[in-house]
Amino acid sequence: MRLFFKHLFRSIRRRPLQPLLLILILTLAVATSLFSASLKRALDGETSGAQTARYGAAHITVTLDGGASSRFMFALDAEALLGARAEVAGCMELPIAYGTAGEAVFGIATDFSEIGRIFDLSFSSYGSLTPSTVADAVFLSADFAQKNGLAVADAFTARVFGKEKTYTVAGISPQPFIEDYDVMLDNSGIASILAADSLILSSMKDGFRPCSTLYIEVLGLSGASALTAADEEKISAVAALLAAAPTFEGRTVSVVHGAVANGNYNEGLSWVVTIAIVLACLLSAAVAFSCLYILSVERSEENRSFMLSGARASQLHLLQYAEVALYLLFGSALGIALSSPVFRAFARAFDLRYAPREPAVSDILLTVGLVAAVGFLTVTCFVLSEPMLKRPAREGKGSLALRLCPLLLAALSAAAVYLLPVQLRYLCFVPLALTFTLAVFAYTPPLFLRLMRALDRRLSLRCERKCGAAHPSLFYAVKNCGEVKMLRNTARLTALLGFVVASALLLVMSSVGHLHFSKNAFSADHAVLGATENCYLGVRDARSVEECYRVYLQTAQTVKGRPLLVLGADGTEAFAEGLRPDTVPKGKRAAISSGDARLAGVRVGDTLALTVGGKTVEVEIAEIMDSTLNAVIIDNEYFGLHYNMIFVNRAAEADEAAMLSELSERTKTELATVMRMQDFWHERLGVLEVYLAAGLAILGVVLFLSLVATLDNLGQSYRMRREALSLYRLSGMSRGALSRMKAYEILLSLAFGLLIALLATAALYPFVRASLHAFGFEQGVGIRNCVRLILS
Amino acid sequence: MIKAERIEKSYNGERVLKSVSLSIRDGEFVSVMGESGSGKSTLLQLLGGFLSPDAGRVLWDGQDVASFSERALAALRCERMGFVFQSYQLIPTLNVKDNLLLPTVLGGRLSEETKKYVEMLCEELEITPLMKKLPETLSGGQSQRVAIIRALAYRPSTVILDEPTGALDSRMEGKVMALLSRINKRDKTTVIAVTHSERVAAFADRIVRISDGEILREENEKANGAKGG
Ligand SMILES: Nc1ncnc2c1ncn2[C@@H]1O[C@H](COP(=O)(O)OP(=O)(O)OP(=O)(O)O)[C@@H](O)[C@H]1O
Ligand SMILES: [Mg+2]
Repeated sequence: MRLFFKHLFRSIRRRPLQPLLLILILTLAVATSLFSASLKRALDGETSGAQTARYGAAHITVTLDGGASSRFMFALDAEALLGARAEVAGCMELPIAYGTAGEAVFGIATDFSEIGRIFDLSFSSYGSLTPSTVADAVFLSADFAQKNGLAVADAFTARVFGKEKTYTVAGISPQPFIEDYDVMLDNSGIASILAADSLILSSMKDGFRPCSTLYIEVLGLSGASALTAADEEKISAVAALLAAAPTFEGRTVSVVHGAVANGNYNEGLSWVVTIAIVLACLLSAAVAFSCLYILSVERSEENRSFMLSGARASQLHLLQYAEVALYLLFGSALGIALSSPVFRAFARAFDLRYAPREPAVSDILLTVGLVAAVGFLTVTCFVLSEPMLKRPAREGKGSLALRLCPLLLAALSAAAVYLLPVQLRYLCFVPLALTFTLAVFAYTPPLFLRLMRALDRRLSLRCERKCGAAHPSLFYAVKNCGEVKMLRNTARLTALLGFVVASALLLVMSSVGHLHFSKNAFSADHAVLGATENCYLGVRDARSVEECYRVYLQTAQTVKGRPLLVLGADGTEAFAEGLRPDTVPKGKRAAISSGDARLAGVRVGDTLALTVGGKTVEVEIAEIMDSTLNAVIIDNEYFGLHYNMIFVNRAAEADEAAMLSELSERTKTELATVMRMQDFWHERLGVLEVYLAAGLAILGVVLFLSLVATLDNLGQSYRMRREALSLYRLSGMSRGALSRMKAYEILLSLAFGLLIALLATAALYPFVRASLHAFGFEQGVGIRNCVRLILS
Repeated sequence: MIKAERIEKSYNGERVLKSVSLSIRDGEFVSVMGESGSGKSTLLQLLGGFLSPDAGRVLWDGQDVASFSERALAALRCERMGFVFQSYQLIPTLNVKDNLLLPTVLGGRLSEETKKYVEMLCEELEITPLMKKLPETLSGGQSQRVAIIRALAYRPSTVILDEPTGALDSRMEGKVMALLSRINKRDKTTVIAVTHSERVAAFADRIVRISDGEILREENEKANGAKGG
């Protein structure tokens, strides 16, 4: 045995480049799948982290809506109503101006004593806070404190509601408060400012604690990690109590338990990313397989002479396993080391706040296990299929049933898409990806062989004389493509890589397309949030505004628990091309996007029950829209749901700054927020953009791996064929013709591989698209739209 | 006319050929004999331009092979000279037919007539049933016959053969030698063949004996009248 290992190390030393390249490729393969797996974990962490940051332990939120007669709401009212059934914290968003250059930031005023019961606040540094100093205390986010050079106990002078006041920094938190806010004040500090202007308010003193949002945690739940049906009932009961209470007239009560904002998109994109990750892992496996396969071929030839001089096959097999294990060991170690900085760079670039920034041990084990299994399988396949003393098995063997197996599996998983109910179609994602990959893997080499042999026959029959002499390089390249296993492997690898990259690209682009077209569902460039009727009157008459619409926008829940966007508007003009019902529905009638109609199983004339703003409304489907956005359009006023925002189009002659200042001037008494449409979508869809970034990052890594693997594969196979190719020179082929022949070979195998990749992608995509229906993805995912987006 | 002038060749400092001079007239049949490892194959490959000498020159019709351009060298290999390697050097990815026609196609001289000629040669050396096979599936003797036909296919003016009958039985050896002497006589083709067999050497006009990288002596077999009809 020692002799064999000596031989192994000597052959490694003789040609050190090959093992080094092999280790490099394995490193990249491990790094790619580990990066992808970590990304998945990070996205999940980020989503649930954002959810916790935004809602804390709250199950219900109460917000002001446009119909509210008073801008003030009191946590005390909710406490009085709910008693021991719930924990309540109230917050008020407020613009804070600070510094000499007139910088402004949105801060939040809360009750310091209450907020900690619902939100898990943590501080990286903390000063002292006593009941007497609380009104002058301010908490800052680490980012904000650093940007402004503030530390605990420093003074922070700010203007709130036009009054300047100096606060003392009492603590610095590593994260912004309630997901978005950099500055947190205590309500008592705000109350004293407001009271200075108002006799009534000053008489209320400490009792005056207004807020714009209430966070309510229902107590006495089962305490299990997931809510039970009884828990949900309790929560609904509390929500109903609030919605019915006269003190909360004109407020929107939303149940937020577990349902992530934009739930359906999140779920869909999470699956898209999952499948991209599965594809990336498959690809890593394919790459590992292909380079280990070349190694096995080479070693088995060396080993054949060992066998001939009496070595036992088992010893040589052991040697092959040992060698692969050695490379895997180095490759995995380097891959793990490489993926961690790449992953951290991604986390930094996309500002992941809540996700872990290091690959998890379980992911490392999974990835290394995957690649190790592929290595083991490759050698085993090789050992079993090509006993060293036998001639290599000729292709075309194997029973018909076995040969048709990949095709049948692919057909089966494709059929399953249509056999399963729409809601469950996403389950087909992974089987589809696996079986199509298997089919590409299995069929590319024989198809390439057949095609090249047919081409060869044609060339030989038709123009052996002319083409042969004029283009000997092409003539013999075709012959080689039919005969050389390495070239078939190249075609297969190219097909696999092309298929994976193209499918993942299409998948990610279709989601990008979906988001892109969603964002363009409204024909407006600015939005006024939390707008009251007074705001509308002010905005409508503003000189810088060309046109404006009142809009109702709220996430509702269908009976099946699926989140669904509910829209209302005072005219069809509010909607852009992608989402334009024939008429704005009146009364009970509603227009629903076709994807959601399919998911909810409703047709025109059916009724659909929705829970929106704490109310349950029953709408009658009057129209099914071919829209780019998943939404149902209702007559919100009919159901007593007030418009909650205004969409604004700027007049051509006004510039943006002028319009913004005019609008904020006209709406400031109503505590409304004016923002650009793109910021509005960014806030609502920000998490989704991280998903897409993740998809694109996986794509980039996969593309890189593919290029390196293809080049390495070509290099290796030519190194192995060097001797065979030099024979052409002995027969009188010139060096130029030989290089041209190699170029044609590469071109033919790459072109064929890419062709198969495109065909397979095109074949897979309709099924993927159909399974995306499980998430209501509708327009914008068509191939033509995707290509248009990619090109733009 | 092929002429070697004081050619020398060493591998890794070990001298294999020591100042060998040799001159072969057009239409001559020369046998090269010598012990194993004496440098016969090396000499032939130098003559054929597959190796370049460390010192001295190889001249084809007065032109130094070392000065041949890439194109001229290619033309030499697929038009003027046929070469049969000791290890046959068939191209593993081409079937027998494609191997046979390779230099002809590369030289751009494929015609119905050459095809007929190749078919005739195949009939003669009993290769016809093997046309679709790949080299790795041929026996040693079959490969050797394929290599010989490949070298003759395009009717080169010179054929150089390294042990052309080493793997053949005596019946086949007779057929190959009859073929070689026929093209030598009728087409005035120059034949240079390495052999270990005195029976084969007897077909030659002249025998060159090599030992330890040096030419020992030359014999004129014709003068002995031993050449077979
Ligand atoms: N590529 C090479 N590298 C190193 N040494 C070589 C090489 N080719 C041949 N030799 C050495 O050169 C010497 C002559 O080899 P050559 O092949 O010319 O002998 P030969 O006369 O043809 O022998 P045989 O009758 O066995 O074919 C031998 O000692 C051989 O070991
Ligand atoms: Mg020899």
